[in-house]
Amino acid sequence: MLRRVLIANRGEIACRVLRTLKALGIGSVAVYTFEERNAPHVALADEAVLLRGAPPTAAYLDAAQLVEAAQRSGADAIHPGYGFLAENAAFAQRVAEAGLIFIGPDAAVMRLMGDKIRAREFARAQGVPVAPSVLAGADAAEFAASAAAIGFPLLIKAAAGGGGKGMRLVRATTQFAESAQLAAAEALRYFGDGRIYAERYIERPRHIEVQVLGDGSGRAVHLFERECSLQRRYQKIIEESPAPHLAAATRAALCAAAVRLAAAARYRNAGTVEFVLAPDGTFYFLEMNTRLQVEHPVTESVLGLDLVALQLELAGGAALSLRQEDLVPRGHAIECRICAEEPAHDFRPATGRIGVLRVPAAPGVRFDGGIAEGQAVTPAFDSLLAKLIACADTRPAAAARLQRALQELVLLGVPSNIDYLARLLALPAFLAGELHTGFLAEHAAELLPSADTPHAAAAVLAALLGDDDFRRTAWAVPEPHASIGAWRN
Amino acid sequence: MLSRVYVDEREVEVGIRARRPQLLVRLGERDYAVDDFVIAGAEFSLRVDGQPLSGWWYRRGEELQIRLAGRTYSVQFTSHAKSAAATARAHEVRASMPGVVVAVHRAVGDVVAAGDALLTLESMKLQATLVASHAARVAVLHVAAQSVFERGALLVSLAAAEDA
Repeated sequence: MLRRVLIANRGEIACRVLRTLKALGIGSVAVYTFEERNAPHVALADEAVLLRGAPPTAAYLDAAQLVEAAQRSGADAIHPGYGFLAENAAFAQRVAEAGLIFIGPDAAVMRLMGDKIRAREFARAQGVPVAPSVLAGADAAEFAASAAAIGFPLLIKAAAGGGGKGMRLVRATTQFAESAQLAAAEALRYFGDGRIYAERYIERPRHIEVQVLGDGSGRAVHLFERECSLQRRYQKIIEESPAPHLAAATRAALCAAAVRLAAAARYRNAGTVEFVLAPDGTFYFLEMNTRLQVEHPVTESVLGLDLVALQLELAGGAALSLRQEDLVPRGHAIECRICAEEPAHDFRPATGRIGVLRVPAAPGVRFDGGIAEGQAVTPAFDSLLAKLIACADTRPAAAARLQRALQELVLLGVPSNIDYLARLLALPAFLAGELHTGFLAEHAAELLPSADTPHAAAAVLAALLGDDDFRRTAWAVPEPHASIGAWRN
Repeated sequence: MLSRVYVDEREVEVGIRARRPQLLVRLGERDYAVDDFVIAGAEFSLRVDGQPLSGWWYRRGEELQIRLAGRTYSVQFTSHAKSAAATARAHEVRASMPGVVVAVHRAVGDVVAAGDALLTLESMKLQATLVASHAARVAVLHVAAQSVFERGALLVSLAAAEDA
C-alpha cells in the first residue's frame, strides 16, 4: 500500500485526490506556485512544496522539480491528475527511474496510446472498429487521392495530437491540399511531430467513452460508458452516465471493445477509451486517454465507487479486485463544468477574485472544487473552477436536481457559466437526450439569456439601495418634503 | 444623482419618484415601491412592491454583482454620475414646487460636500432644507432671501469641485 503520495497538479483535481488520500489515511504532499499559496489544495495536504516556474504552468510541467519535490518530501508515489504531465511518457519513466511509483499506466503504453496513428493500428489489430483513414506519406498528391477515396467530409489530424487539438475539417477536394499543409506545419509546431493522417468524419457524431481499469497482467474490466457529446471547441461542458438512448447491444459492443483493447495492452491503472458513435449506431475508435479524466465522478456516482482509491490500490501492486459481473450501474449522473468565462462574449476566459462562494448541499449533489473565497482567478491556469454533479434514479430527475443546484450555487467576483449551464439543462432538446457534438452550436440562440426576467428590476433596485450615493440621494431630504414628490438636486 | 445604470450591459434610466410614505423608484417605464432593505454580510433582502426577496451581492469596483432567484446580474453604475464632472442637469438645482426662500446658507465660490445645506425654502406652509447631492462648488445663486420662485425655477448652479 502506498504511504505518501505527491499530487503533481492543482485546483479541483488536486483537492479531489487529496480527499481520497485523507479518507484512506495515506500521507499527502501538495505542490503549488507562489500565486496559489492560498489555494485550498495547499492547506488540505499534510505537506506542501513550493515550485518555481514562469509562467506558473511551467512549474507543473517541470518533471525534474516534481520528482525532486517527491524525493525530498519522502513521497513514494506521484499522482499526476489530468492535463500537465499526466500523459507524458517521459515523465512516467523518469518517476519510475527515480524509484517512485507513477499512479497510472506504464510509460510504454502511454507512448503507444499517445501516438494516435500507432494507437489506431493497435486498436484495429484487436478487432476494435476504426474510422477509415489514410496516413500522409511523402507524396502530397498521393495523400490527397487516398483521402478522397475515403470520402468527404474528412478530418485531418495530427498523429501526436489528441484532445481535439491539431484537427481540421475538410469538406471538399479543393480545400484538401492547403489544409494538409497547414495541419502538418501546426503539428510540427505544437507537438514536435509533423505526421498527419486523414480520417472519415462522422456527421452529428456522439462522443461516447468507456472507463477501464487494468492491473497490468492482461486483466481488465470496464466501468461502463459516459456520454460527452456536449462540447464547445472540443471542450466538454456536460458529461453523463449512462449515455441516453443507447441500445443495449451497442453499449455491450462499446464496452467489450474497450476491455479488449485495455487487456491486449496489458493496461495498468485507470484509462478511458473514446469512441465516435454515428447516428446509424456504428462506432469507431477515437483515442485512448491514459489518465483519470475530469468527468470520472459520473462513473463513480452510478457505480458507487471511488476511482482514485482504485488507482491507488492498483498502483500499490494489487491485482484487480473488481469482477465485471459485480459492476451494476444504478441511476443516472450528470456533471457540469463550472468555468471562469463570459458566455455573453463568446465564452472568453474571465479573471477576477472569488468574492462570494456558497456551495449547495443537497442529497445527490456533489461539488468538486478547488476554489475558496478570496482566491484570485488569473489567466495563468485554465478556466475550470469546479464540477457540479447530480445523481438520481432517472435522467430527468438528475437534470432537475443539477439545475436546482446550479441555481442555489453562489459564485460572485468572477464571471462564470453557471447560469448558461442552468439554461442548458432546461432545454427541451437536452431533456430529450438528442445529443451530438454540434448540439451547443446548434442551440446557441435558445441558450441566450432572456433580457427581462421577473427579478431583473429587483436586482437593479438592490444594487441601487446598496450604493452610498443613491442612498444619500434617496434619504438626504428630511421630512416633510420627502413626502411631497420628486425633488431633483 | 444616478440617472442611469446598466444591467447586463443594457441601459436603464433611474429616477426617484417619491420618498414617503415609501421609496418609489422609477426604472425605465415603471415605478417600483421599495422598502425593508437590509444588508447582512454578503446577503441582502428587500421588498419590491410588497414582495420579499433576498439574494447575494459582491462589489467589484464600479460593478455590482447581484445573485437573485437563481440568476446573477451585473449592474454597472455610470462613472460620470459618480465623478465630479457630472451632467449639467445634476448641477442645476431647481424648485419642484412654487415657494419662497427663507435663508441662503452658502456664498458663491463655496465648496460644498454631499449633504451640506444650500438653501432653506418654504412651500405650502412647510419648511425644508435643500442639500447638495454631491461634492461641488457653488457657481451661481439665482435667488436670495425672500425671493419668490415658481415651480421649475433654477435656484442654484453648481460646478465641479476642482474647477478653478
